[in-house]
Amino acid sequence: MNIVAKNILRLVIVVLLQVLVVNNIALLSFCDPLIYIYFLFLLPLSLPRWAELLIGFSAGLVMDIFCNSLGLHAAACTLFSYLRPIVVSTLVSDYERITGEPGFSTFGPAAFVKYTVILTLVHHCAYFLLESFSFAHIGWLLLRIVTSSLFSIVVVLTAVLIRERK
Amino acid sequence: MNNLLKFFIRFHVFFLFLLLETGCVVMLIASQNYQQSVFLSSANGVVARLYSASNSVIEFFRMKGDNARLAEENSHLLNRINELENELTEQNERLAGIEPVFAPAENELRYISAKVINLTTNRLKNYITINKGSRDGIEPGMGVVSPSGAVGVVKNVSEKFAVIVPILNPDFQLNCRFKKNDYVGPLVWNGIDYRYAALHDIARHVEVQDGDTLVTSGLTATFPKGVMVGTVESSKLSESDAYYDIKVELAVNFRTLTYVQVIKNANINEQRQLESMQ
Repeated sequence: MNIVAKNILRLVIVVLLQVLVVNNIALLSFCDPLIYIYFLFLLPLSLPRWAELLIGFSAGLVMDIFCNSLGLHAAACTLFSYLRPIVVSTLVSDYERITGEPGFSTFGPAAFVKYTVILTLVHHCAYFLLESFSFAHIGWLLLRIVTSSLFSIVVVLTAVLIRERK
Repeated sequence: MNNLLKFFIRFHVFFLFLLLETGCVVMLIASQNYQQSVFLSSANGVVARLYSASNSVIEFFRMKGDNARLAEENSHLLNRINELENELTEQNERLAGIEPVFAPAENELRYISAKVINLTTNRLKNYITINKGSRDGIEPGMGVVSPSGAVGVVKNVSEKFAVIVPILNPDFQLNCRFKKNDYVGPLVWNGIDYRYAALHDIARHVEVQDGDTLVTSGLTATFPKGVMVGTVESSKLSESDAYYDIKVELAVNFRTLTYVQVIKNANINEQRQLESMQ
């Protein structure tokens, strides 16, 4: 399939999964996983940085429309998209030669897990900090960030693993 | 000038990043204070229709419990009608021949029933989307209740859908009154547990006991007086405090909310017009 069509389809699927399924499973009142960032993780590495920023911003804006949180997801996703190429270039030495999408096989298992953990934490920290806009309930905030990130990381890694097995 | 241009081109990614982030923060702040555009909220036609379709699947699984609840509510209302009819005939007999009395103007209410098609309870700012909109007579600012108590206030309205700001959103403060002694204070959600909220501004001389009932104050035109809000779960008052720290258990279980009623106050425009003339 054409890479553009494939990514658009992927965006539609993850957004629907997020808003129709994950948002309705309230495991714990403080856990609010944001699994749609799976889409941002798998964007091709050959994207120009300005395009990646615009894609991240738009994906966040779509989520904001669904969640009535104008600007919140968009801000976190824009930060994600800005930092992703920087994280990739520090973790993977020969990233310029990678032609496929990011994954265990292209990055190497350790580098890919690090890539997922770092960027999920960045995204979730930005999201939950902007959401509360204060450090008033700092313990609560940390609990929210840690549990939600853990859930998102497990989901993203499992999804990539299943994709690569096929 | 040339150098400046080169500078911008060299760091264009960073500047684009700053520009987008600034845009996000501006939207974030603006949407807290002003009504946001309907297109950019879940009252947007496409989004609301999607939520509505997914809700019909979820609804199928919830149907049994809902039916039982509706039947119970129905019998309760039938009993109430019976009681009121008896009272009315009695009063009519007593008042035969006397001039008719008008109902209090602030109580001329109409309830518009609507189905909840999307709601969250684990965000800091939660919203509820319902399947009635401007064509059903819903306007921003109207109060929303459920059979068990007060829910929230309408924020955005499209033709067929509306978004409600519930008690579970710190942007919304509900004026509450103690049923037993009429003291009034604002109820605010603390963003932590969907079952509890905090009541402020109750001075230390007021007697507060666990289990005291809180109802809407009727001081704003949004809710009529006496709609159930919750009960006092616990109250704290340290030596130096002028005000109580009151934890309120909410009457409405937001997790299982399926149907709500939007309150249309028939005399609201007349009241607002009169107030604005001062």
